[in-house]
Amino acid sequence: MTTLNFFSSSETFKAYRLLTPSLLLLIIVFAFPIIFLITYSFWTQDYVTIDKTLTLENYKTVINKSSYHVLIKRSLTISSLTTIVTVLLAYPMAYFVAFVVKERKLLWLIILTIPFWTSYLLRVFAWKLILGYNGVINGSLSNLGIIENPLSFLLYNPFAVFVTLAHAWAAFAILPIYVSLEKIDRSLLEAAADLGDSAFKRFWRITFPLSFPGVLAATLIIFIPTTGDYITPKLVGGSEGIMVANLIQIMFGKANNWPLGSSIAVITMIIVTISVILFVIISRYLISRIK
Amino acid sequence: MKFFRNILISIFFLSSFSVTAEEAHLYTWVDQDDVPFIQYYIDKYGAEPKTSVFEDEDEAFAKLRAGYSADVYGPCSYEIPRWRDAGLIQPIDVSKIEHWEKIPASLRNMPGVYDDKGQVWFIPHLFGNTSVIVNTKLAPEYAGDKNSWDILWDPKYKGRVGILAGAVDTIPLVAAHIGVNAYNMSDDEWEKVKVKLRELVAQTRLITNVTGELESAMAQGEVVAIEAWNDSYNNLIWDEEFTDPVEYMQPKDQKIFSWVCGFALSSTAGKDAPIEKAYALIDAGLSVQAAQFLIEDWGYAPANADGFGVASAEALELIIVDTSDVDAWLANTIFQEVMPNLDKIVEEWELIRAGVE
Repeated sequence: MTTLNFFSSSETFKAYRLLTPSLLLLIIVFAFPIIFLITYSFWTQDYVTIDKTLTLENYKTVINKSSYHVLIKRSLTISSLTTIVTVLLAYPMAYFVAFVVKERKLLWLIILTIPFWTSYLLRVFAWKLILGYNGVINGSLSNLGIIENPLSFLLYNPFAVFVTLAHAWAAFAILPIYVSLEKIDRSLLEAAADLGDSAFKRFWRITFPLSFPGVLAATLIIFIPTTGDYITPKLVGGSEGIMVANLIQIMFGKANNWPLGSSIAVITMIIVTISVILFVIISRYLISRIK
Repeated sequence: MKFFRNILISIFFLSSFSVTAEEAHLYTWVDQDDVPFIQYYIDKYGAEPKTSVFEDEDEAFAKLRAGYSADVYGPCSYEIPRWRDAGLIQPIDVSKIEHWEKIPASLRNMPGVYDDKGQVWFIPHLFGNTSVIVNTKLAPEYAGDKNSWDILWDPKYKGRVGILAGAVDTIPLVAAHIGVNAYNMSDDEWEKVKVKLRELVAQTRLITNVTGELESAMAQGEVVAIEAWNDSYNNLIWDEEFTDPVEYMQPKDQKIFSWVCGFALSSTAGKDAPIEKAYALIDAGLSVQAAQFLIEDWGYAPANADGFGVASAEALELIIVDTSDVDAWLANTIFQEVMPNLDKIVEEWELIRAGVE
């Protein structure tokens, strides 16, 4: 009886009880697939059947195949660039809404999210139309008489992938940064001003460090999924814009090799996790050094 | 009362379930469940068959391996060995197919139809071709007698050609162009083909499975030539805003490819609906009205040769096939088959496409 009483009265127990539904859902939709993926990565494909003997064969293949490494590096480069540019562009927007806008903030936030009311796929297609051979940019430039033949370097390359991703993920950067800016206690800024800090110093010593959790969240939210994006590279990437996720997709589809696809996915996940951890540690250290 | 209401509701659901379960189920390519393809079945049984569609055969294969099933599937011939080996399909009794004899002999005997024991696993439904479409206004030097797949590698048109992403189309075509038979190639030959593929990737503006993208790139003048199926040729001719002359290449010294799609009988056929209904579903696709629809609306040739007799002359001209002697015409093309070691080839092709191998 006493143990039961102890559990039912314990705060931890209550917390877990409240968490149970979402925890169960997470286990079912998140943990199980990951476990399957990891299990698959130790099996091998034998034509139409799967050989379930545990082996490291797939991992050896991935580690020894330099063309896979090139694809992983390419994915990391494109997604880091996307992340940096998106966060840099999102920050002033979030700042504007948090500090400059005084009335109808909700309306502003809704306006910022309007592009996200259409599906992801449609946004990618929209960029195809903008960057296309007879697209908006080429059409305008030739109407203005600036170019004679349409520019072909706009589409089907890593640049197009990067532009499309940066736009597609912008809202995910703006919102967390906005929330962290909004939370900042304005009296801190007033105190700093009273003590003689310039506007730049106030930003650099108070606003930026306090909003950093939002920047960090935005970075992770963008970097992790864009590394694994395959639709954008497929539609606007051309040959040079193909990323590792396209290879993984092929493995699970046309190449019919789920085990090898799983191990490429697992290795990509490990690399992404390590990059993210390093980024978090280094950036927090740097922020703590701001004086 | 609530109790009775719930019972009534469950009876209703159960009964509606059992009614639909009695009809045969067709799982096929997107749009190949259009009414003309099932009308024969509707006329015969007074009810619509169940249908569901896939975007490509890999999706279908994965879904079927995961436990999905129907009575009749609509894959192309080169898929048959894999589906058979995975136990997804069963042999077909052709005596139960009314239109079997209407199919030209060359199609009835093509690779994939019979196995070593003389059992039939695949019923041809429609066929088309894979070759190159050229805009002869932009590239007049490749017109008519001078049709050649060389245009895909012509430095003059670097960045102005488009190709199909599918390995089953592009690899055999590139191999054939350098005299290699992709359905029986040695490792050395494959290395040679890979060199040619790398050159091709460097030449291309776009590589896609969406034929509409290739057609619109052609219609906008973005590319001068595309590797394409013959329905793309029809679509370009039908496009009223695009007036440039185009040709579907039939090079003098090069046989073009023919692909054949059709029907396979599920290993579970006959379990839910009577197997006769599954056969009727195959016959529905082979009916004359389906054949006419294929020619006039899709630009594909039907396996039921009677279709050529009823289709409009204008539509017949666009499907390229010499309908006076279909067998002789097909004999002058290469049937698409399954490439041995396909999975490996597909993976390497993806890496070549990405420019990393």
